Amino acid sequence: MINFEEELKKFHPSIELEGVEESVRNHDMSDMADIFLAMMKEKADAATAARAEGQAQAQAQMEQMMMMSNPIM
Amino acid sequence: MKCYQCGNNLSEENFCTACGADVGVYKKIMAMSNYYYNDGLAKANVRDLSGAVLSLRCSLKYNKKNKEARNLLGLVYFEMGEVVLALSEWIISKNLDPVKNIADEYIGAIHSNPTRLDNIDQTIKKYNQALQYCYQGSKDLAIIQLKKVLSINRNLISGYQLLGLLYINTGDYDNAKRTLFKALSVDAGNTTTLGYIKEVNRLIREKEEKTGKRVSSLPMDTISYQNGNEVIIQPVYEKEKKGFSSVVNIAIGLVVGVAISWFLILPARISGQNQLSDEKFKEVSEQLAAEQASRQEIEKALSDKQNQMDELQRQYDDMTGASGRRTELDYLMDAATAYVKDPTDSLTIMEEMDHISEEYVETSKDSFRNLYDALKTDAATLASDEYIENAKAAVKANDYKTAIEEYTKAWLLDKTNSDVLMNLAHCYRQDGDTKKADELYRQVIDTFPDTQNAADAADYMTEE
Repeated sequence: MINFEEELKKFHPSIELEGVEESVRNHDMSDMADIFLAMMKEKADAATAARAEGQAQAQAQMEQMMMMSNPIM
Repeated sequence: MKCYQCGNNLSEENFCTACGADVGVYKKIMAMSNYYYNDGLAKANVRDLSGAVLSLRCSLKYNKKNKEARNLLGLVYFEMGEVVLALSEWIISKNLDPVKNIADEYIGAIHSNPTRLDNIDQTIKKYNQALQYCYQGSKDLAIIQLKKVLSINRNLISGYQLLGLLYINTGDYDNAKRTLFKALSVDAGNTTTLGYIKEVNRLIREKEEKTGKRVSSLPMDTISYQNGNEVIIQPVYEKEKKGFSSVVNIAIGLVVGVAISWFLILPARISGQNQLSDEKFKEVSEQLAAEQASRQEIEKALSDKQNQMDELQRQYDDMTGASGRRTELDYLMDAATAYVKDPTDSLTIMEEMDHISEEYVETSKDSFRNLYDALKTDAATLASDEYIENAKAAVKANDYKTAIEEYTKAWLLDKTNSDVLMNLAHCYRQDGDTKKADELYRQVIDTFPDTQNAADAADYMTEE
């Protein structure tokens, strides 16, 4: 059973020719490739950050070991 | 396909051979985009336009730079009457890839025809107005407006659907079905359209069950069949009943055929035949006129020749005497004959000579002229004397009329004799014609001055 009022709500005014520019501007351009690239970038950034942190930790350990092997006279 | 990181052409491996980036997932995303593009293309080929829109939009969700998918989506929108959406897709496509993009041609084709662009704009505005009427409850106005819209833009699916919905709502199920079938002919797989048709059929059945009468003349159901992955839906048409109706239809067909031939074909053929006849008539008339003119010319020439012949014949007859007309030569010969018979018969000679004119004598041969002069000189003198004698005898008998005639003849033969002129004047006077007498007296005075007759004439003249 069709409800006329409900069905009517499914119809929307058409965009007029003057509105083409706005329609193009408001067009949702995000796609799966963008999301994937963003994820890959995030992943790469995380890896870089982890690498930098690891290097900092290693350097700290090295410095600590050096201090232990050469006690202050 | 190129690496998203370094732009190098990718190989079959799941990593970039140039930068080592992991491209396995990226390749799958591109493949999905292409898959949906192919799906959309297949649906568009079987006129499942709404299905094609879904697939193509899905394709673009995977890869927004899929130029073919975006251009095809624009085309499908255009076919559905959604010109603005089509233009939007083509503009985006052109901006993403401006080199060798067919979207450029599509946009150009629309922009090159301002009338069509204006029609599209008017159609959109009217559609929106119709929708506004629907919201306000003015369904009749909305139906009128939508009919106008669909007469200009015959592919506007949403227009057909809205009009169908309005017809369903107003209980006009036949028109609703017709409208929805038109929508189906543009977009075969539109679920909204199919849903409305199903609803219309249900309502018709309900009504028929209640009333027990047939409500709609249109076929009730649609048939659907599988064609590969596609579902084709089309209305079922009942077979026409055979028998009496066939005979009636044949009879109607015959009547229509005869009417067409009578009112359309026959007049044209008659007109053609008349035209041919007119042309032939004109041609024959021209030939006839030419022949008549030629005949008249021949008749005229013949008549001229006949006249010439008649003239020549007449001249010949005159010369030979066959015509009975006497010539100057005849008169001269008769005068000469009369002179030979009796040289004193001057009257007969002069009568014959009188028939010969002075002009003819002047132009005649010398022999003719000499004979004429000789005869006239002799005969004239004798004749003049004879006329004078006759006149005198008449005077004696108091017959002045005869005397006048005789003296006149004598005077004409010899104009040197003043006595004759004087006596002629006397006769006129005696006859009572004093005016003529005076005129002759005056002539005597003028012609013979210094003579006795002149002096006497002056005495006789009554006017002094």
